[in-house]
Amino acid sequence: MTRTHENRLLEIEDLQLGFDGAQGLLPALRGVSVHLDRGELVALVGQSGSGKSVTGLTVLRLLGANARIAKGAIRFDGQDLLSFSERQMRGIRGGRIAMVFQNAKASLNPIRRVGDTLADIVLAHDTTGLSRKQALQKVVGLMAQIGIALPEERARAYPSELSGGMCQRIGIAAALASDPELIIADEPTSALDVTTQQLVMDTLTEAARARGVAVIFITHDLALASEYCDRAVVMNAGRIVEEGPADRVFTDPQHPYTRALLDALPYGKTDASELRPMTWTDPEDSAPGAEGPRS
Amino acid sequence: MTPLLDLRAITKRYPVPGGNSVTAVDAVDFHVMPGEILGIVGESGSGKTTLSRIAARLIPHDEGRITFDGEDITRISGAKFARHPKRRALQMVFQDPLASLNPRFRAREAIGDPVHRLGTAAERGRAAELVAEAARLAGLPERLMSAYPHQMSGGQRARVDIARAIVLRPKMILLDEPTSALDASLQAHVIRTLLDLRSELGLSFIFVSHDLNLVRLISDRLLVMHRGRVVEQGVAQAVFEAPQAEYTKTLIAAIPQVGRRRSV
Repeated sequence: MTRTHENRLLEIEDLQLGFDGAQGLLPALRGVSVHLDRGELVALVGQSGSGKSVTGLTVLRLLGANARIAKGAIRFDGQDLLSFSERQMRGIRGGRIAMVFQNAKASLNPIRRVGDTLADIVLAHDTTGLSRKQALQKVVGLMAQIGIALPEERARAYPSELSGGMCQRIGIAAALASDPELIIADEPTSALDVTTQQLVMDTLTEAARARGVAVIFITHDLALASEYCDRAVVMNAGRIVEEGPADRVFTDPQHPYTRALLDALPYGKTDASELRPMTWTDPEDSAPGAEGPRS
Repeated sequence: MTPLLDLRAITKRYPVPGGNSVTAVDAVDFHVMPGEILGIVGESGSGKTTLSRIAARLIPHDEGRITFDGEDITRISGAKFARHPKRRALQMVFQDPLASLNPRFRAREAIGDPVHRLGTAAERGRAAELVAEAARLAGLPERLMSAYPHQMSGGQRARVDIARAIVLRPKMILLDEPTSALDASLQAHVIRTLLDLRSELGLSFIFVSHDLNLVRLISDRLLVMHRGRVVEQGVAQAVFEAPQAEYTKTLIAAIPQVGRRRSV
């Protein structure tokens, strides 16, 4: 069983993963299965510690040395990424699969002009023998395509000279620079104001739609997921509790965890007294989190 | 009814290299009535945090008058205000309790600190009792009273911060992004706790946040800031339902909504 249908781009199957710690193995993913078609926008949503970021990082095999994969498979375009050598992975990372991080300012090299950083990415994945000058031209064109005004000028800027929102859009251009098939965006707008957030999400999703790039959008913001994605996958404590069309999952949740999460959040409420702290715990979870008051 | 806090024509400039200055807060007027919750919203750099810090006399301002609880506190320097009798009536809760709590104070000591600094002799005499009562109101369990900040979860630290703020029964608490570091469930807990405190103690709040969904729910009135100016203020529900200023309209349209699709 390799590909279940021809449009399938990514298939994560029963992934079980933990981290070695002082108290033994700490489970992080307890059997996660997610699939993604070409060009599909899928949101992974959940609270801190639910395993959504770990899932994204595992696809790129960017986890620390203490990560232990107990079981499962990750198939990208039919190939098992878990069997790839480190060298083979370098061809995938930042190439066929690109990443957008939460804090683009921190992920861009502070002492290089952003255009040069992006040209490096173009050159690293180029097979047509582009010169650096041609790579820079491609970068400026890319920045213009995603709606960045004055792209030549911006390409000559250092990250510290740009706003947070502009850096995040440069981060999206960086992700697109290698012509990827999949972009993993981990909380790309969490540090931004709502107006800038809208601009960055529009930029990301319009570029992905126009190029047929699939996106895994990792977020704790249920509303953002429902506004921009095709499908949403809700995670809790290393498991998937619910998935479905993004606009349906949060308006007509089926799982008690999703319902409890929505009850705790302000969406659709008219008075703060309607906010309900969560009392739902996973019945399969024999050791509920010791953290946090449940009074 | 007279306002509890009244700010008139407040201006704050920060010097920038080259001898110029930027005007972070530009001739702002606002007030808070007793028992009222005022939400202050705006994007990064709009001046909302600067304004709230001026209101609490944490930083000096250049022009304008501040009246709190019937007294003009404009002339009292920030450093002096830290020991002023009115300070006890105006307390603060910050975004990151790990940064604002003394790492070497156990919860009990952190909550009791204002009693020893600002309390009367009688209050200092029954500090333990006041601390226990504040912890109870903030929903902090007794077993955590000997814990240090690093031994507590984010939600527990937020509760210590709230208990510390209410221990001297202030009239107003200024909250700057008090729940932005908390998950959904803890945020709901903390918001409910704050609202309970308002009904039990008759507190006023200034709630500074960029989470417009949350501000909409808990504020009575709303102040919208943009580039140092107040572009709109009014009853929170009315502002959200029928925003008047162009900037407010843009801001409200950008708030993500569950179940709505952006056309891309």
